Amino acid sequence: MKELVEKIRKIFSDEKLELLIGYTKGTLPLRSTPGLIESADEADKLIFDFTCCNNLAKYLVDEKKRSGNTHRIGIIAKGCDARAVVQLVMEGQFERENVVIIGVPCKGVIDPSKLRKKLNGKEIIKFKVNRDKITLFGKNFELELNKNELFSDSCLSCRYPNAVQYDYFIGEPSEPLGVRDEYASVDEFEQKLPEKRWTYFEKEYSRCIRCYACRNACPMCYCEECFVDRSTPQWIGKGNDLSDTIIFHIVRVLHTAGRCVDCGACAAACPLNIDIRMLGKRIEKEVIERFGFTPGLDFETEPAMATFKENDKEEFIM
Amino acid sequence: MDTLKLQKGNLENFLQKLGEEFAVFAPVMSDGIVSFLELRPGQKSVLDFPRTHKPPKDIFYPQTEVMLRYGRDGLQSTEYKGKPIVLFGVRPCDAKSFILLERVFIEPKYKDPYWVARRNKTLIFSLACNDPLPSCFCNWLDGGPFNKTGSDIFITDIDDDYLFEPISEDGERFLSGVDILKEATEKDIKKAKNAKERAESSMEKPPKLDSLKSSLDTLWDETLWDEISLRCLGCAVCTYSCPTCYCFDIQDESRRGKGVRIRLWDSCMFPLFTKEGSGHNPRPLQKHRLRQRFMHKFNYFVEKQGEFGCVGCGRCVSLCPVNIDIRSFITSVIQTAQGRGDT
Repeated sequence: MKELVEKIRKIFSDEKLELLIGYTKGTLPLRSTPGLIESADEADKLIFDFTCCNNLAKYLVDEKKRSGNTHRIGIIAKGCDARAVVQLVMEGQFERENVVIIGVPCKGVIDPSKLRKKLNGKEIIKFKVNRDKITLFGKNFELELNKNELFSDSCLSCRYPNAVQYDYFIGEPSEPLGVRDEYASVDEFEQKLPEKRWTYFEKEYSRCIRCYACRNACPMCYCEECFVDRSTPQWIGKGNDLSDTIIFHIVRVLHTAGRCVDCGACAAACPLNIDIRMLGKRIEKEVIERFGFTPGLDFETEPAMATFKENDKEEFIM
Repeated sequence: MDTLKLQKGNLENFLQKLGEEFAVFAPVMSDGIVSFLELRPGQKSVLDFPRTHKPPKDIFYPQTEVMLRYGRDGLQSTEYKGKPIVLFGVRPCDAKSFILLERVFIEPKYKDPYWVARRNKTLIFSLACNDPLPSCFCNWLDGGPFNKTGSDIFITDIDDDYLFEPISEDGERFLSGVDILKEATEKDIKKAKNAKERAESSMEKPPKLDSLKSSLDTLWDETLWDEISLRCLGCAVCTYSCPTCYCFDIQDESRRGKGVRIRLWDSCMFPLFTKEGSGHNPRPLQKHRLRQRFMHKFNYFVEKQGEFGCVGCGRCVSLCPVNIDIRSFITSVIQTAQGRGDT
């Protein structure tokens, strides 16, 4: 952490940053909180470890909305945060020269909803890490797990743990946790009968309370006004009717098609542990197969949804 | 009337029997989420689950509630006409939340008929917390793991049995007619007393909140709102998981000459919450919205109702996607005001 703090301090003054978006220690064990610091002196608050699950690129968009596009902002970026930044630049959300990407090696982050599931209502007061194992201690219990059991599903199949595009990189690049077939779970799900698939989605999305934590945690959901908030005229019902809820999720996933970097921030934000990722992953596969596009890898390739090539597959057009 | 007891092995029987007369709502695990659901025959409640994911407020105040139906043949009321309700195994913080919510839904001038129709038919069995969670802070807010506010019958888990202590007259009347309950012995009562002491002493000593309300009076423009609101996602996890948040929106949904008027939870965290028809929004920034939430709970509610609008259940603490912790906020408000010599 010392290296991180010192380098950040230097970058802060070298780059004349006005704001740096990073992570600071949270108030609960295994939780961090986004930290927005305005001077190099505050850099010693910064941390980076496996508790840093939020996608910070989201705050770049917020900051632009708040203070215009003139600020010079630094951002601590895992592989997925950096990809989101690249994609946002490609979408014209802010100028490349106004953001300083500081890559950090990611070895996987904890998904708070997985932690909650493991603890079954209990809470921990401390934890101990020993290589791949983690021991959780509560008031009157102890639980030993593999760290992998708490990592976000996105991390478990992540190909880009390190920022692909960056201005600085602090530390030694990480190896991916082990990309198996990253679409295996989607493919397996797709083999099921339509009724079975529907039952699954019904079970998952009927838990949704329309708190929009998934949308608000997502760096790609930056619409000035989300379609669910339109009131003149109103687009969809606002109660917890299942069909309205599912329309929200389907439209969100379609709207992030070819843009989603699979950071897992949506799933990590969901208070009801809904499997938000399945639909998104299926769409991601579609975009790769049809257009060979992976969002956020470079500043040259035109995003899939912003371009047309003669050899684009179009057999799905009637 | 004395305290009674129920052997744990007889709980299912007891609830089954209750179900004949009442709609019994108890903590039920469904798809990994525990919330208060109506017990169906044979369904098990998870009484030992520390704190339900969702608060029980939706039993009296559902997230989406049809207020009336309308069509060419006129209006139809949708007032609750079902069985009387038993709320079984509500934790003390949640039981207290009903008292706070009633200041809003059953105040002398305005009575909410939807809330009243269910609430007046409800018996609340609250369940002591033998093991408060690390994020619980009921003891900051005049509550506690064995607080009996809002309870008709107070249950304590003492290893092999549950003790049932009548608190209200309704509770007493109910208990006098149940055969399956036996009288508790002195030893049982002692066990409950020990559990209470253990639970209370397991919680950290609370800070003094005497100056919280007056501190907030002076901190309207303070930068502390900036620091916290820059991190805030503006989602409704805190408000929807809160047992005392009650703000709502009313909408009509109609199609082909008939429709419904529905009331649905709304959240002060959403930009749309205060957006006016003209397009003007008096709370344009997240900072204003977040300030509203905290001011409502720790300043305005105190002003109007004489106590804090928070029961310290800790749900928002544990569920906030960016770990905004209301406890740290409370302490920093007090410290900031003290630092400026305001209190």
